[in-house]
Amino acid sequence: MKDYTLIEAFQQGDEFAFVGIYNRYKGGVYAFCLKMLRDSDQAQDVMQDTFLRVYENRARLLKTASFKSWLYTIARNQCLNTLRRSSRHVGLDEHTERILVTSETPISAMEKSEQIRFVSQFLESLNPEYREVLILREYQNFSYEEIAAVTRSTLSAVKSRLFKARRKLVSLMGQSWNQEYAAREQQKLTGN
Amino acid sequence: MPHSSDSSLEHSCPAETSETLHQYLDGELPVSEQPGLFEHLASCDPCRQMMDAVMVFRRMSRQEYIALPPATDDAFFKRLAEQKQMSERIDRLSDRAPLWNARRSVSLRSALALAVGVFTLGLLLPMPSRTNYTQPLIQLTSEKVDFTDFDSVAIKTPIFLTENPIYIFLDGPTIEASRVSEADDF
Ligand SMILES: [Zn+2]
Repeated sequence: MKDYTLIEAFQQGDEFAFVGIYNRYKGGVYAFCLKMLRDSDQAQDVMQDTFLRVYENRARLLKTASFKSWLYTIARNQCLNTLRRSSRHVGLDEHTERILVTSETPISAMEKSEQIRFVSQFLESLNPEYREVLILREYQNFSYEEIAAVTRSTLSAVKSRLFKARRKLVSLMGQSWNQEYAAREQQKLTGN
Repeated sequence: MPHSSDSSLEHSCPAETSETLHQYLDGELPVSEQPGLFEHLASCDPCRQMMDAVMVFRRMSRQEYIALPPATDDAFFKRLAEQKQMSERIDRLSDRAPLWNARRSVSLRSALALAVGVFTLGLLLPMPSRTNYTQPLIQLTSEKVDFTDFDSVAIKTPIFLTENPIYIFLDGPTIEASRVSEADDF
């Protein structure tokens, strides 16, 4: 069944259509929440809250074309609320930054589990407004336009945050790569 | 000679080139502009490094298989059932959205026709005064991010809207304004 058909049926009161929508989007919404919150329990709760609100507010869903944006806007707002609540107890930034910088393994030699950890820690090191943009782009494959809709920002703000997050990434990876490039240069020189 | 510092990694490209690279990586660069970018990449180390970083990050982020714990579905549908019960009670009290409560007693076809009819009628009628629609229906400029305070609400408690939220759906921005409160408030 097409997305559009499903959402239309849902708007018109079809309970099965809602289950269909839930099944179609729950994984993506959960992944988004998990990456935002880095806590499976919280992510599950927020995912559920999101769909409960979708159900509760179905009558207000006026235009189906942007259902996905609407859905993720709700999820995003719930995530930010959760983060606001929990940030009182946990100071994130400095800690993760230190872990990332002191990582001994070069990027290219990382094991799968190390790679996953690196990505998670990098995301966590970003402020939520940068993190959400990067997650929506890299995990949800949203366009700039869609990200702007979900984060209620302008297109230029989305780009600026995304590019800035990536600049941070390149400088972080660069520290590791710098050594690898240097080693390669050295090889080239001795090879001549 | 090994590179002695990070300075070679600083991104020193003009902003436009840099943006072009990101657009390309995000599949948003028109094909006509791609040759120019490739030409630039051939001679720009910082841009190539940025490209590598994005690609590597992308590959790494795909390594993780994110699966929703199976028990979540049961928990969700349990909460949904509770919410339905609760909101039916609320709807009876406030006489809101009667159509949804009545859906079981009418055929799908007539419910559908009624829904369309009511919706169309709603479009023609002026906004009821009990809602706060003093603004025009479509507000593109509103940028207010309302991080409603959920502090008093336990996560597992169903959340009910005490006032009609306003969701306006356009191709572009989505605007939401809502208030929440604990179910106990009712
Ligand atoms: Zn360049």
